[in-house]
Amino acid sequence: MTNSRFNALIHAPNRLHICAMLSASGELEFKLLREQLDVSDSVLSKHIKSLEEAGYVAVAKRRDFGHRRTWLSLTSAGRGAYTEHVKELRAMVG
Amino acid sequence: MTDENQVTTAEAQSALESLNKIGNETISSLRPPLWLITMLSLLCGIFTFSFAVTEGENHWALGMWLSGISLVLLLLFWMYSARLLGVRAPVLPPSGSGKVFLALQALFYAVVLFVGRGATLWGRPETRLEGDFPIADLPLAPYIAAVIVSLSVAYLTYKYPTNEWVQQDASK
Repeated sequence: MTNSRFNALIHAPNRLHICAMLSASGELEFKLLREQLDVSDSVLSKHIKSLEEAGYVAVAKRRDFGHRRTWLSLTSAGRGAYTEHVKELRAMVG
Repeated sequence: MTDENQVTTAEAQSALESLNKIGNETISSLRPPLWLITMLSLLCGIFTFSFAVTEGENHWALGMWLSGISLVLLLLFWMYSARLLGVRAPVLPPSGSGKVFLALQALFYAVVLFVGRGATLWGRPETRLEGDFPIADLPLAPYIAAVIVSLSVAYLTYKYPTNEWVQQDASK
């Protein structure tokens, strides 16, 4: 089944997990996502990088409570692509 | 999967089940502790009751102010502790469905608050008009409004802690 709403970039399991978590919240810290996905820093960074390059995820590095923390959020394009992707999966299942 | 864009129905089903599970896990991890939900719902109930029965500067006005301030402080504490744990809750939900959901909640609370106050005021002999609005005789109006607000705040905070409309299992 091939069509425009299906998003191969988002569909990869870890990236789908990242988008699902970010869509349910505002901003999440990199460390929290890493713990939830149970992956290494480098694996998560790679996935985030590809989502960021596609314009789906925004990465913000800020100093909070004396620590440098990396915050991730879905952009409006990312939220739209994820919503469309889920709609397409539902349409496939029927 | 033979091609990146080719997915079978079984794979789509599996992905949806996985998304549902992730959604439930995310909501569980973002949900505030039960003591905080209980405090929030009680304070909202007290605020609603005080708002319905307050008259100028009587002691219920003080109750309204104290419960309102405590509510804001508790919400700030929740946002602060969530931020320490790695979650930044936006004031407005980022998605369109989240904004609609929040607007509907605000409308619902506004209706309950003002209907509760209106019914309480109309129920008083000095403000009641002849033959006007029989439900105004209901002496339980402020209690009913407080219970409705309190229970709905507890339910919505438990089920939708980020104010995002996320589909969840009925069992969760």
